Amino acid sequence: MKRKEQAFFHNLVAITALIILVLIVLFCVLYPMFADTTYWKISGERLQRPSLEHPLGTDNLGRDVMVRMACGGRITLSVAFCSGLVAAVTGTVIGIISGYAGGGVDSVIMRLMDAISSIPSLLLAIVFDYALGMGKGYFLFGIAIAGIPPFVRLVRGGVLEISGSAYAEASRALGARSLHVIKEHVVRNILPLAAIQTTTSMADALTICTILGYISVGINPPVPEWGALFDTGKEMLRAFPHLSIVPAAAIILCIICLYLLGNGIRDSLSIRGGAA
Amino acid sequence: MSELLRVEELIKHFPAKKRGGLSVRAVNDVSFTVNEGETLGLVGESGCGKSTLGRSVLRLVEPDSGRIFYRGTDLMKMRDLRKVREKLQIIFQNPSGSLDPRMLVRDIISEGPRIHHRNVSRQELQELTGRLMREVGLSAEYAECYPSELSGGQQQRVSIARALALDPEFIVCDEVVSALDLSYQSQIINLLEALQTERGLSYLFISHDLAVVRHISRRIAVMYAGRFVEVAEAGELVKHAFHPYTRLLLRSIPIPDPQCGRRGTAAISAGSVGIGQAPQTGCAFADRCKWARASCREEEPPLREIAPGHFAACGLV
Amino acid sequence: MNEHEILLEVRGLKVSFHTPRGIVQAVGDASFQVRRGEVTGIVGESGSGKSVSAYAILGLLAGNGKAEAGSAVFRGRDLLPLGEKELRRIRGSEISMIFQDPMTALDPAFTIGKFLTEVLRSHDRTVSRREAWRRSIQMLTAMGIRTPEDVMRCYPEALSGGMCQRVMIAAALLCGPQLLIADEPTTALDVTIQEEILSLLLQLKEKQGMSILFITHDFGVVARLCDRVAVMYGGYIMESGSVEQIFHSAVHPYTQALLRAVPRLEDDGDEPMEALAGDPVDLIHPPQGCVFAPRCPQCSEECLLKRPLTADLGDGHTAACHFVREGGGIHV
Repeated sequence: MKRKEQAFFHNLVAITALIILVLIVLFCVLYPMFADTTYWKISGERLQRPSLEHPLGTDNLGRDVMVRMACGGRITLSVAFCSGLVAAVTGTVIGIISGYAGGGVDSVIMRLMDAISSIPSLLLAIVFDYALGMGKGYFLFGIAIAGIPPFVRLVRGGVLEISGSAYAEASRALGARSLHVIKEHVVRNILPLAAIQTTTSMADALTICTILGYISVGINPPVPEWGALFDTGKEMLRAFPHLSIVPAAAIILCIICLYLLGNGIRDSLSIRGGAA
Repeated sequence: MSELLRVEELIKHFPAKKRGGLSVRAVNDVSFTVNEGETLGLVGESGCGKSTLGRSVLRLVEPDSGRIFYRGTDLMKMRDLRKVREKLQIIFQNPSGSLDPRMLVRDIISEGPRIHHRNVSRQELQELTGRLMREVGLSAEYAECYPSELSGGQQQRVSIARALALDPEFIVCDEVVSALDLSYQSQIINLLEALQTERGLSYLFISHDLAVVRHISRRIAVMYAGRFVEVAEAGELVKHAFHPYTRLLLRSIPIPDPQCGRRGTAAISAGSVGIGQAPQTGCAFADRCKWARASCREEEPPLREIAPGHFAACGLV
Repeated sequence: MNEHEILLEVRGLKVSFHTPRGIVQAVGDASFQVRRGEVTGIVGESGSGKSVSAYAILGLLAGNGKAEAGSAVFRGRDLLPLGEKELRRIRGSEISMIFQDPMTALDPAFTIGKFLTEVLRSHDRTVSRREAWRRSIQMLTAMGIRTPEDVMRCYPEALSGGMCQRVMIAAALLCGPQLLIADEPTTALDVTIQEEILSLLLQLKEKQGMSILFITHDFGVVARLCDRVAVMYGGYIMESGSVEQIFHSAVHPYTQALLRAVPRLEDDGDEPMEALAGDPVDLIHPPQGCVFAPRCPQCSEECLLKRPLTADLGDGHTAACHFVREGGGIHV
């Protein structure tokens, strides 16, 4: 395992992306703790320019934008990370079951996945929010469920390929039961695929979350969210461009970093060829 | 020499891919025995069913019918094969494909013992792995390598060590040297022969290369379209081949000597070719056989003893 | 036609690939020639650079590969500096190539007829469809195919491996090339089918006076088909000469060892097979001296330090070994 980690650390782009993501997360977690104001508190004049006291100025209600960015990031990023992880874990488990069981179970699961992916993920999130109670964060499950089908397809394909491989057959020839083959070979070879898909899925979740914030679904004011922050900022785009540019930049930066991280994981986990 | 494995009337047909198509008779009524410490060679062209036969014998592919006796017990009647799996092993053709690319060599070799003996200590496994690696001629430094970091010959040594880890009595060698370079090929063959002498192993050695099979086997079975068409002692088969297919095979093998008098274009008149399908009745080789008679296309000839220990399935007997 | 006219002369070819792990020197120094109307074989194990040499001649190297030095003169013109456009004009019409796996070389979406007529028409637009069809059928018949019309209407999946290879050879010969480069064309086929393809190639050589550069790992095939042979190892030509010279009076330890390792039918299996110990060359860090030195039974200090020059033993027989002297003497 050591060499694979080394390979990852040699990947400068991926490691930079990871550092940026960690810094953003740290900022979101730590900044509000040390700031002397909070996201809902009116802490000064309305629409101030950036200053030492308010590094990003204040918004149209006089709230500190920097602290609202940090608190919004907590929401946006945790929604992205959590729903990405939920999708990854459920998707991987369902995919392994589907690929290994085959037959009827497999067709039922795959048709279910087709059904889910035919619903736009945004719609799924909105429906969950309205159906299960608004403002309680249930839309997260909508986003997570929308992220499951690609995982299932990916993992199922991988399972079929691996369980048909010569090394899985060799393992059966040694007397291994299915469970052993799954544990020893399938999971081991699926994980890299799943890891890459997880970052993709997190980036997708982040997009949906900010769109929901932008159209004011799911999270209610005064709780900030990057998409919502961008929405308020865009009305003053001419006079105070930083109000919309900063949240937009944060969103884009996170998505790019997640993709680069995924690529980095893929490169470091890919099997290097023999002699050539 | 006592009998180790006896296979009787083994049949494995695969259903047709297309609706209305013919099912593929991969293994069609095959019987043979392998004695202790003996190598039975199995030659045939690609698609003749030799690999399916090798897998069916171990029930890695479930045969349709037939009996497989290992030391007197019928494997076909056994529910749980885990106990006999230790004694019956297989080594595959493509060494890189049959090794999990994400496992270290030492974990690959110790997989069998980890499956069967749950309570072996780490140290015991390490010792066993070290001993096996020495036995197959791999230096200890490779234990911490991934298969992709090894050459083809070394990878095949790892597969052999993995098969040996459970101390088997019988190993199916499925085209084990076909993917290897000439210099590795002889290394691996010599290793297999040395292991056979030391451990008293029996092999079913499957290959498309008659010269390799001839070297390692005592007896050779020639397979064509799912059936054994000729079985004989290795020397006898090469010198006094009877079946037209065996003869064609022997003549087709390029001889590594430019002065063998086989440089001409008309050395073998294999005839012109069309798009053909294997006939469903009669001898499967009849269409390619220049001695074929009308009766050959009607009745499938059984395997008959034409000389002591020499069997052939040909209508011309 | 001059009997010894040299059709293709490769000199000092050097090919490297840039990979994440370092520069792989696939071919270090290769010189060989193909004479008109002869079959020249390049024989070697995997990683010896035999296929790469052929690909380099036709500019078919992968994107990270480059022919760094040397020349490949074909009918008076060096092919290595040519651009893609000029090479494409030469490929198929003057030099054709057939590959190891005929099944994957054919596009499954086209019928054989469509494929063959397209091959013809892509080189010469003036050929009518009907004419192209007629010539394709003629060519398939020349390949020994009994029912060319049926084959023309087939998709590749309906054909056997041997039939696919016949179609590939037909496609390679449609535009009447002077040189056919065959990269292990029979390795994926059964021996009985291999024999048919080999005798077909020999017929084509004799009837049409075609020259063939045949790349293989199989000494049996070399003996059956080739007039001249070059033995390659680790990117260098170890020994070259006529088949008789290579098979009966090989002087290079590598050639001798390989020939002893060839499994033979008359071998009764009582003795262990002659094996060549050790592993092939690491092409990223090739040894300083002779590439074969680490595996060579005769290796001396000089072999480890200095790369041997190619010595001419007369009659076109050459060998690159410190133990071989110019003019034929072998000193021990």
